[in-house]
Amino acid sequence: MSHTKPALLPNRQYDLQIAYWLLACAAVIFGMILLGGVTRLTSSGLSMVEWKPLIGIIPPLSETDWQEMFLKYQQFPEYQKVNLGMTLEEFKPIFMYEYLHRVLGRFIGIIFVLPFLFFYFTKRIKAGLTPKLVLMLLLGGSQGLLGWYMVKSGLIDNPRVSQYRLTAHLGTAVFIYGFILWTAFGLLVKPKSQPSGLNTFSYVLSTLIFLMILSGGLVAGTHAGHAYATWPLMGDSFIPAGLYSLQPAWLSAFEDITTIQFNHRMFAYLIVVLALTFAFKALKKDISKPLKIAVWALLGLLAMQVTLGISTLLFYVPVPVAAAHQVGAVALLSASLFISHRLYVSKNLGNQD
Amino acid sequence: MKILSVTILAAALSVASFSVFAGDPEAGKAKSRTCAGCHGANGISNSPMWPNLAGQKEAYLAGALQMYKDGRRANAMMAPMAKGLSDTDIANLAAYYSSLK
Repeated sequence: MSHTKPALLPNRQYDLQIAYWLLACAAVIFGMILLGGVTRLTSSGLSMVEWKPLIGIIPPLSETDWQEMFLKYQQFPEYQKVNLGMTLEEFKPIFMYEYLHRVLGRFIGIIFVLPFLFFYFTKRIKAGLTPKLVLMLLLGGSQGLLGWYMVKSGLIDNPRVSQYRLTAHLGTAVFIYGFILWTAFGLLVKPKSQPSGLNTFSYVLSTLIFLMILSGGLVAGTHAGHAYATWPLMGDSFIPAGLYSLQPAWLSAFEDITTIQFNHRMFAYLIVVLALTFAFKALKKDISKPLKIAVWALLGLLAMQVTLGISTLLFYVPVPVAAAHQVGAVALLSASLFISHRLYVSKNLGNQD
Repeated sequence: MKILSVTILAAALSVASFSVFAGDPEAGKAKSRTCAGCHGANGISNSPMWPNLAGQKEAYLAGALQMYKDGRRANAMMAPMAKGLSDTDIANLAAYYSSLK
């Protein structure tokens, strides 16, 4: 740790420090995605009708402050059309969810920027990594803007946020999370050779799980999870009436709640089949022990996800179950990314030989 | 003769209106599982976003569903739900929800 050490020399210890910092950031973002889900599910997202990135951190402290916030909320259509007659006591919790979501966003900014500056100025960041970290920072900052852009879409006459903006906000969050995780894995892992022939399959699986999360964003964004509280049938039939009935038909995949839920279900079946096939193939090969554990974790998390998803439908979208379903997806993606990363590293190892 | 035809017409109309509005609440209950996600298992909504249906007027419910179905009432959530309903389903659902307290 002496200062005379050449700054650019690869240093395992610094890599590990940065990896643990990134993992800590990823863990907080995981919590942020959970809190975001709860904010959505409790219909709290439109309770703060202003966006003040700097001074907005001060919560209402006195009863007068609360009254003022509540009066501002009452100027907007969500109060007038959906929550008319709401009391201040009913307003406080929905305000707090949105407030905490915004505060946690700022907190993530701080726990990212300060250590980043420290690592940067002490020259502990290895070559090639700085641009990635800067990209994470930019993406993270844009999440705050995107969040407000989403909220704005609900502060209009029809007080519902756009499902497109909601999906973009969720998708960006998950992308940043995955990007950070992948980068941390890259700093942590000691390359080890793994059997070949699984790479493409694993990448496809990780990509599909990410797309599945976007599909889930559309379900949340249109409240499509409330429709068809039945499984395995949707209403009376497996293929519900009115599928793809909007003009043009493809629009149904994004705006028709029947089609959105149907696609989410079909997507789930596809992932179940592919993940089981992948696990079957992978466990037959001579994969390393951490990889074996990750494959079993993938299966366990998948079983949990399916159970949570069906329960969310059958019990009319209870907040704890639906929120667990949302972060369950992120956990599943984490396991899949871990597997993909191990295989990726092993493949590159082979290329160097 | 005229009186007879008027009587027949009146009878036919009353039968017709009977068949539109006299749904079967039990059949409606079986069909209502799709509705329960928003309007509650007993017709009491579980969110301020959506209305209670329990005890709502039968003719109003049937009329609203018909209008969602044929597009006279535009609603992103109800249009897809109503699209899959037959006239009998609509009558049954209206009978079921109006029978709840």
